[in-house]
Order: sequence, then structure tokens, then C-alpha cells
Amino acid sequence: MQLLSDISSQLQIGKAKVVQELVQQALDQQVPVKDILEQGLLHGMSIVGAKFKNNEVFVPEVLIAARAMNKGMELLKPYYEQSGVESKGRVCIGTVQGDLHDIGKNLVKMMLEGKGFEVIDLGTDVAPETFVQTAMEKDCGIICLSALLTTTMSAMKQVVDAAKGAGIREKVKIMVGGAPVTDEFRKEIGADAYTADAASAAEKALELMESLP
Amino acid sequence: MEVILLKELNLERFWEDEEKAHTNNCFNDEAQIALGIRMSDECVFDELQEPGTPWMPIERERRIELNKRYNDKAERIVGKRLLQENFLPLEAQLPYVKRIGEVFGGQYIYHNETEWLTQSVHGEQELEALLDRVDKLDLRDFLLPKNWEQEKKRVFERFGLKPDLMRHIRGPVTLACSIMGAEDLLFLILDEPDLARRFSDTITKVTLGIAAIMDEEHGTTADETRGFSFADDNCCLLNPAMYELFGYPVLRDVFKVYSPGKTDKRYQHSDSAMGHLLPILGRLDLNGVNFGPTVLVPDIRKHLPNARIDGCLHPMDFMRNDREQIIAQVRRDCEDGLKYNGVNIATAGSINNGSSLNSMRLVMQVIQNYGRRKER
Repeated sequence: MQLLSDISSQLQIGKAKVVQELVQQALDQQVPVKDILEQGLLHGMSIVGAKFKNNEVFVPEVLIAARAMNKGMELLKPYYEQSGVESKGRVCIGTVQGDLHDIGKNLVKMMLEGKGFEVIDLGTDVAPETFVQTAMEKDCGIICLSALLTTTMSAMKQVVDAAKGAGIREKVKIMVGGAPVTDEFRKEIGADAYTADAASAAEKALELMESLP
Repeated sequence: MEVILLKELNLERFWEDEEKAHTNNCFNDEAQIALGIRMSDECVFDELQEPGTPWMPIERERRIELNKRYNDKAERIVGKRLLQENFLPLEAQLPYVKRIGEVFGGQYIYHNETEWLTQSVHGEQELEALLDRVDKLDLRDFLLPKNWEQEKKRVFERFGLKPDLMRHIRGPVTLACSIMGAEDLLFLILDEPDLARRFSDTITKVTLGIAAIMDEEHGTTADETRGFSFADDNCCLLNPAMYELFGYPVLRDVFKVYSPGKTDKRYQHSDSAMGHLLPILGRLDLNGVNFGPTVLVPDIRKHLPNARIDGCLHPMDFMRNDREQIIAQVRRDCEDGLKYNGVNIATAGSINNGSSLNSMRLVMQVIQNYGRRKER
């Protein structure tokens, strides 16, 4: 459908206002909300994610595309329930305790939202127990941890341990990322997944969510 | 897995050749590719298995003791004392001179034993107000403490020391990301390019202003003492058009004043994936760079023919002392060095605590195995 394809392409170039207008137009024309979301907004965002992964676009392009996506989603959200739109699952994300970096974490958040996840952003310098508490209270299937410092990456293990201690380790997947983090480190601390970039993180999250009991 | 057999390292020969390898900013046909790794103060803790935190200031006596012990070990492993052992006493220090982040309303704080520059504005209105304030600021009065003149005199009379120059600074993008948050900065450049231009111009003015004040305090001028360098890790966050608008003009204008000659230092450190900015940085004809581990010699050389390339060993692989990766990456950089010249084998980013002297020795061994020109 042309209108949905326009939403996707306008989102890809970050035209927030145009996306908003087109989404409203689609709603007025009774296009199913699920289609507007999936074939318009999320489709556009997934193309941006793929281009970002291939170094065809850079952080600003992702940022403005995400802004356009959010503008469109604002209009759709009131209709989610009646239209049977379900999120791909709930994720809580944050930068670990001691670390104030946020751009990597924010990029992953945007990519996750672009895949249809509901994301709870806990911000930076997040205590291990806050991750675990949030995962329990909000029924998150995945906890995403970010660290940019060699001195703070060890806090990731504390989150894994806290999840074990709270008895939710089997119910929740833990993903790690950030410049000093590697897959070897991920294995060492007993987390479930590591990815090197934000777009891959969102793809991995989809896989993990599907594997949850 | 490929088993790599390296010839034993001849330490004496290595250091003899190493000295010559740095001639002409590492562009030469000397026997061996240059080594830029000299480790760092923070490495003492892991190497000596001593408690301590790498990024916090520590007492002078403890610093000297740790560095001496580290150097004893370094002498045995790599054949050289690497870290500084002479530190001036506390009385020789001048009082704190404020830094650029503080001019823009931020504060340098320690959080979790790491120094951070705090955010000072939220949104465009606050930024405009901040820039108005900075425009009216008496920079000298703001930067220098009240007791500056008497302390400067005391330190000079007692120790013969002049105030330090300010010729290295946090780069414009990294500074602006701290001051207003990374995402807000990106939106500012996209949505309000005129205000972003004004912000960039103000950064240039302040950078040149601080440098000129410290020149004067030291007793020199931009003409007499040349060279400038930037550390701008976050420049990778901008796309080329945005960097052209916001980051590039600052470097261009500062280098115009401080590095007008071909060999005057024009250096950029940004250990991130900023390869997409190379064509723009190429116009600055940088003569020294240290970029992130994904930005490799052939790409850099395409755009920066005169730059000494400090790199491109992944600092995290070096920190993990990953033998296989160190050999592969240093070998790659040696081969690129022989082909493109001007390579100084170093980590692509800062050296971290955990990087061992044995890994440095391994780097030296790889250079001696793969980074030698044919004997003349």
C-alpha cells in the first residue's frame, strides 16, 4: 500500500512531521493500526537499522528516524489495545552502576523499539538490584546492560548474580554490550548474549524473546 | 588455528633501531617500524598486583614507589624504564586553572573514581543563555584563581617553573556532548543549525582565548611555540555534514593560529569509529592521529598523507593480553607501515590497566619479526 510505503520512506529520512501526518491520514482511512505500525513505522526503522549496521548511515540518521517513529507511535498507541497490537515483549535497559555513558544504551533502546519491543529505560549508573527489581515488577523478558568503561563492566556480573539471587535467572535473558565487552566476557559472567552493535542487539533480542518459556 | 612461530626478540637491537625509527615523524626508511607504546601510570596496579584505582590521583610518594617498582620489572621484561620517576613536590604546583568545560558551565567531578564533565544546559533556550554568558565572560578573570600572580611568582622563584601551556584540549564534539547531552547536540545541529554554528564559534573563541592566556602566562606566543592537539572521541557521532558544520571549523581555526606550518603539530585523538570523517579531516592535513581500532592505516593514509599514524592495535585486546590478536594486528600494522610509511605501532586508544609488560614485549617481538625493512 502506497501510504504505508510512504510512512516507511519518510521515517527513514527522519521527517517526523510528515510521518505524523501520514499516520493520521492512514488512521483516517481506517488502515489497520497493526499494518501502520508494522508495514509503515517498524518497516522503516528496520531499514535504518540495517543501514546503520552496514555503515551506510550514522548515529544522527538513526536518531531522527527514531524520533519520527516515536511521533507516529504516539498517534497509534491509544488504539493498540482495541486493535490487538501486542509488543514483541518487554525489555529493561540501562548503563551499569558507576558508568554515566548513555549514547550506546540509547541507540540499542531505539533499535529495540524499532523491532516492536516495549522498552523501560532505567538510565545510567543503575544499581544491580534496580535492574532485577524492574524485571520482576514489570515482567521483563530481557535485561540489557551497557558499559563503556573497563572499570565498570564488572558490574554486569553483579546483575547476573542479583538475578540468580532473586530467583529469576531462568525467566529472564541478560544481554550485554559496550566497547570493552566481548563474547568471552559475556561467557565468563554467565550472561546470555553479547552483540557488537545496536542493530544486532535488537535482532538478538527478538531471538531471545522467542526462546523464553 | 594457525601456529605462529616468532624469532626470539633481540632487545638491544630493538631499542637501537627503535630510536631511529622515529626520525622525520616516523616517515623514513630506517630498519624498523616505530613503537609508540610506553605503557601508562595506570598499568602499575595490575602488573604489580597492587590495590588501587587507575584513574584517581594518588599521593606523590606512593606514585614514585609504584612507578619505580614497575620500572624495575619493565627493565627486565622490555629492557627499558618506561614510567616517570621524578615528580615535583606539591609546593611546586600552581593553583588550579579552570578548564574549558567550566567556562561552559559544567563541572569536572569524580564519580566511581572516574573524572566526568557534567551537563550544564538542557535544551536550546538554556544553551542560548549560556552562550550569552560566555560571550560576556572575562576569561582571564574566570580561569585564573585570585592568588595566581603571587603563586606564579613563588613557584618561578623557588623552582624556576613557568605555568603550563594549554595546547591540548577536549575536542568540540566531545565537549558539546558533555555540556548539553549527545542526543540534544545532534538534534540541535539538525534542527537549529544557526545556533549550533554559534555554539561552535564560541568553542573556537574560548579555545583560542584559553590558549592565548596560558601562552601569555608562560611567556610565549602562538608564533613562537607552535602546535595543537584535540581529543574528540565523540566526533564519531556526527555524520559528515554535521561535522563540517560543528566540529571541523573549530579545528581549522585553531590550527590556523597555532599550526600554520607544515610540520607544526596538528594532532587528533578520537578512539572511536570515525572513519566516515576522514575526508573532512584530510583537509586539515593532520600530521599525527590516533583513531579507533576500526580505522586502519590504508584508509587513514588515503586522506592524510602526512599523518603519523599512532595505531591500530585494539586497546581492549592489548588489555586482555590476547596473544593471538596482538600478533595478528601488530603484524597487519607492520605490513601497512612498510607499505605506507609513517606508522607508529600503538594502541588505537588509551592503554588500560591490565595491559601487561609481557604484551608490550610481544608487540616488540612482532615488530622485529614483521616490521623490518630489508637490510641495507
